[in-house]
Amino acid sequence: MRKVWQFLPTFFFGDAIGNDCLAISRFLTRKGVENKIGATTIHPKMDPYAVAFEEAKKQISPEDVIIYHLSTGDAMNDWFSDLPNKKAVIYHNITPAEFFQGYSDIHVKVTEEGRLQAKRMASRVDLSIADSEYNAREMEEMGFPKASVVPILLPFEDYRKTPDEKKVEEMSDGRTNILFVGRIAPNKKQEDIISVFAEYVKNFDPDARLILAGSCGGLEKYQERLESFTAKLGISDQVIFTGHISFAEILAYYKTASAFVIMSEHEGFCVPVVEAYLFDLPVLACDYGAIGETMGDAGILLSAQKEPARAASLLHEMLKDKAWQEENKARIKKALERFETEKVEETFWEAIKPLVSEPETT
Amino acid sequence: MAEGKPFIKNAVWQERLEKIAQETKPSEIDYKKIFEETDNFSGNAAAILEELGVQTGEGMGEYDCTSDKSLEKVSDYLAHAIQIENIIATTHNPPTSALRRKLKTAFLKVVCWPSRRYLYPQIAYNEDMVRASREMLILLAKVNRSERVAAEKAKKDLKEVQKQMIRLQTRIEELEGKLADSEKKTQANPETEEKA
Repeated sequence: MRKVWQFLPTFFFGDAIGNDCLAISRFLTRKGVENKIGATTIHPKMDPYAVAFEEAKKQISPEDVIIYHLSTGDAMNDWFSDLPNKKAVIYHNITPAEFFQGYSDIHVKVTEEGRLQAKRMASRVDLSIADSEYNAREMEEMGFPKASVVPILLPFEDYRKTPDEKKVEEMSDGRTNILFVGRIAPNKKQEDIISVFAEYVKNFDPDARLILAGSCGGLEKYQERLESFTAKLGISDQVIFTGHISFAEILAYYKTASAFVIMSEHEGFCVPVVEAYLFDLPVLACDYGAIGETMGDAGILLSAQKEPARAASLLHEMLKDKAWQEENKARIKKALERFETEKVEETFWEAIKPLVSEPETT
Repeated sequence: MAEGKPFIKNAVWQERLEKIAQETKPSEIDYKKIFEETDNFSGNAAAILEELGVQTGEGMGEYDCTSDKSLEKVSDYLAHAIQIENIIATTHNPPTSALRRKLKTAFLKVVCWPSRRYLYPQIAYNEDMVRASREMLILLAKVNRSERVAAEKAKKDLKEVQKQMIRLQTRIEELEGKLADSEKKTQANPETEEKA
C-alpha cells in the first residue's frame, strides 16, 4: 500500500480539524498504512505527530498519496494543487468572506483567497471528501469530483475525561446555564444568541446565565461589539465570555449546562452539536449550513427565521418539560450513531481505499 | 415572522412546539437595531497603537498567509515601535519596576497580535489582545497620572520657593536699607559709634 501524507496549514490541539487529522492518522496506522502529517504551524502538543512543512516537502515521494484538509486560505493550498501525486481533499468548508466585513480585513482576505484557491484546486484532485452533505454540494458547485460524505472523526472517549472540578463547582450554583461553544465570530451570530437569552431572562428566568465559550482570535472588534450589546441590554453580569479555555473547562461547561443554543448562519459541519449531544443536552438551533443534517431528528431546529421571543419560549419549553427531554434523549442517542468512530472510519476507508490501495508503479 | 409560516423546521413533538411558538407574541425590542447601533469597538489595537505613535495602517491591513512573512511583519512592527521614543520612554520610565514589566508585556502583546498564532500557538490566550490593549491603556493612564501629579507638585513647590525668594529678597533689601542708614549715622557722629 502507498504511504499517505495528510497536510493542513495549522495543526492545532483540540480543534475539530486537528482532531480529525489525528484520528485519521491513528486509523490508517491500525489499517497498516504508513502515514505522516505535515503542517506549517504545529501546536506543541501535536509536535510528536507531525513533521514541519518544509521538512515534509523534502520527504514526499512521487508514489505517496496526499490527503489535504481544506478549510482556509493559505499558500499551502496552491502548493497542494500543483503536486503531481495522487491526491484527495477533505473539505471542511471555508466561511464566506462577507461575514468578516467590517471586523477583520485579514479574515476577509484569507477566506476570499481560500475560495479562489479551492476553485483552482477542484480540477486537480483525484478524490473528494466532504464532512457533510452541505459541504459536498459546495464542492460540486466549485467543480470538484463528486464527494463522498464522511463526518468528522470525533474521539468520543475524549468527552468522558474528567472535567475541570473547580469550574464544575462554580457553575453548579443552581442557576440555569445556557451554553454555546465556538469561536467568537460573526458567522456564529452570537448577537442572536444574546437576543434570545435576553428574552428568556426577561420572560422566564431572571437568574439564568449565558456562557459563550470560545476565543475571539483576530476578531476582537466583534467581541467588543457583543460586549457593548450585552451592556446595552443590561445583561452584562449574566453573559460570560470565557475566551480561550482548556478542554477540561469546556467539559465542565458542557457538564453543567442546561441547554445549548446555536444561532450560527454558516457551519460546514458544526462539531458542537455532536459535543452537546454527547452530554445529552437539548439543542436549539437555526437551519443554516450543515446544522440541520448534523442535528438529525433531535433538539429543536428553527426554520431560518430568528424571532427572539418565540425562540426563548421554545427554550423555556425544552428546559421545563421533562417528558420532552426524555424523548429528546432517545433521539440524541439515535442521532449520535451516525458519528460513532467505527462507522465513520468504515465510511472513510471506503472513500479513500481506491487511492491508497492502488498498487505502486515503481 | 409572517403569520402562520412555520417557525420550526424540525423538532421533537414539533406540532405542540409550533403552537407554542405561534402563540408567543414577538418581541417588542428591536435587537437587530440595537446591535447595529452598538458602538463598534472602543479599543482596537490599531487605534491604540496609533495613539501611541506607531504607524499601523499598512502593516495591520496587510496579511500574508505564510508564516515567514508574518514573522517579518512582526519584526517590522517591533523595529518600528522601538524607534518611537514616546512609547519606549513611557515603558522604560514608569514609577515602579513592576509597572514597567507589565507595560512591556502588554505592549508586546498588542504589537504581536496579528501573528500570535504563528509565534505563540502554545500559549493559552485567556488574555486576548483586547484585554492586553486595555491593560496597557490603563497602565499608561496610571503613568501619565503619576507624572502629571509629580509635575503639579513640582510646580507648587517652585511657586513656594519663588515666594520665599521674594520674601527673602525683600528682607535682604530691608536689612540693606537699615545697614545703609546705620552707616550714614556712624559717619555723621563717630563718637556715638565708639561709645556704643
